Amino acid sequence: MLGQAVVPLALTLKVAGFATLLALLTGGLFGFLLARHSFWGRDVLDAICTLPMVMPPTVLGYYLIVIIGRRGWIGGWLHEIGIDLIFTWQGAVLASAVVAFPLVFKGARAAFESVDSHLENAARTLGSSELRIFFRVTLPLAWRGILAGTMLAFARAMGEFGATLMVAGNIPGKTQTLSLAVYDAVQAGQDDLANFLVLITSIVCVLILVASGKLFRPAY
Amino acid sequence: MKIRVDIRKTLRSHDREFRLDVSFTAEHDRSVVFGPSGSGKSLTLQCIAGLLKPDEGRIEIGERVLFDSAAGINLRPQERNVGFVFQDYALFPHLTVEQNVAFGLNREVGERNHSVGRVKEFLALFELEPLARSHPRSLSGGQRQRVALARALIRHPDLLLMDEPLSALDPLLRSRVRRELSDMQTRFRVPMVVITHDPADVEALAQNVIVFEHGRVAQVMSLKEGAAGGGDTAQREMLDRALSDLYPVGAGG
Repeated sequence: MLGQAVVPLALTLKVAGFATLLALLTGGLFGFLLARHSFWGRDVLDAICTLPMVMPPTVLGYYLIVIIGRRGWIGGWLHEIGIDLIFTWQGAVLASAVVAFPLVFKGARAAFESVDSHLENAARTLGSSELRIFFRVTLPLAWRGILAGTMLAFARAMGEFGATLMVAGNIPGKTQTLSLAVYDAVQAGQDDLANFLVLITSIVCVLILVASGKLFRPAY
Repeated sequence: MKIRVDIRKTLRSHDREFRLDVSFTAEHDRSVVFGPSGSGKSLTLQCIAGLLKPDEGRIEIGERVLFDSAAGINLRPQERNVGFVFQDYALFPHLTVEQNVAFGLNREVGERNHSVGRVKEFLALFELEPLARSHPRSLSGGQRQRVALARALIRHPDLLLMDEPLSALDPLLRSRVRRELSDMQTRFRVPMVVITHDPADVEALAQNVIVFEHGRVAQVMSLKEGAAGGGDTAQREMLDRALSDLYPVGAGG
């Protein structure tokens, strides 16, 4: 039973890890952009960035197929240079990243907004370049909030089911993550395996939530 | 050093509009900007520091032009060499006192030894040595103010701007800090412009008094050296009259 759990667990950690990294980079960037710059259409962009949080994962999966499928807008072009994402673990990464993105984005935006702009202005009058201000003032004061959002994103990515199923399928050993394996185990009547997988998933998620809860508390 | 400010800026938020139209020359090194809240004092200081861009006008310190809309000059705050002490001091909460003071120093290789010595010297000068490794949250109001002042002065700014530097302090501390400020100005010979609500600050710190009202300069008074300390009677009376016009009864915050 352990053997049957190890493969999907390892795959889940791999997929969730890469998906979280992707969500962190993009979500952090958009969070900073929307927190620090006001431009036309900012509210609309905020809504679009938050959309994956409220939309059914199957709808997101469908969007992704339309975009990265073999005949999709980007997928067609990728296919020509020999890259196919549908039914691969990289496709699962993309699906999980889209679903996890709003959690990083929301956390990062709130974290950047909570940094007092007086501090950045003080650094400006002290001659610091904008880049140095970001790395010496803004980021050190915002990282806890960003990290907390990122951990939630990781937990969300670990549990991703719908969009992953649509984009990457449910191929044991290749794209079958924990949540998909639970579904298969229940369908096949393997209750022991299902219980075991559910327990692992629950423990990991509780640990992550406890840790991120600690980070949400202000340090200063 | 002469400071010339002649700027206009219109700010809009929702249905309200505020028009700043400020023009004054500060002939002496100690200027106090005085006036009720909402009269555009802070906005003017932010414009001088380069944190806010005026719609049009000109700002110069001595021979240096910081801003000139007609000539297309608008130096970034980093290039202005203007120190700023914020009302809440804006100390970096994640850095120690020592790191706060050293923040604005040159970090180039070869400069490092020099800066370590400078930081030590400034910590001693502002009586912050025992607090060097403390974080701002554990400091008292007066100590925070000294950190903010040391952090700004260590860069040898051409001009020091202070936005109500004493308002966060309790009244007992205020007169002591006021004296310290005055001493520091003498010591560093840095021209300063201080915003205040408190007539006592005007008396202790001002050679020029710039009175703000509704986004405009209502009056600029030049007090002779020492006059504010109680010398020239005519000037004292003029100042008192101007202050009592603004604060009819019980002048203060």
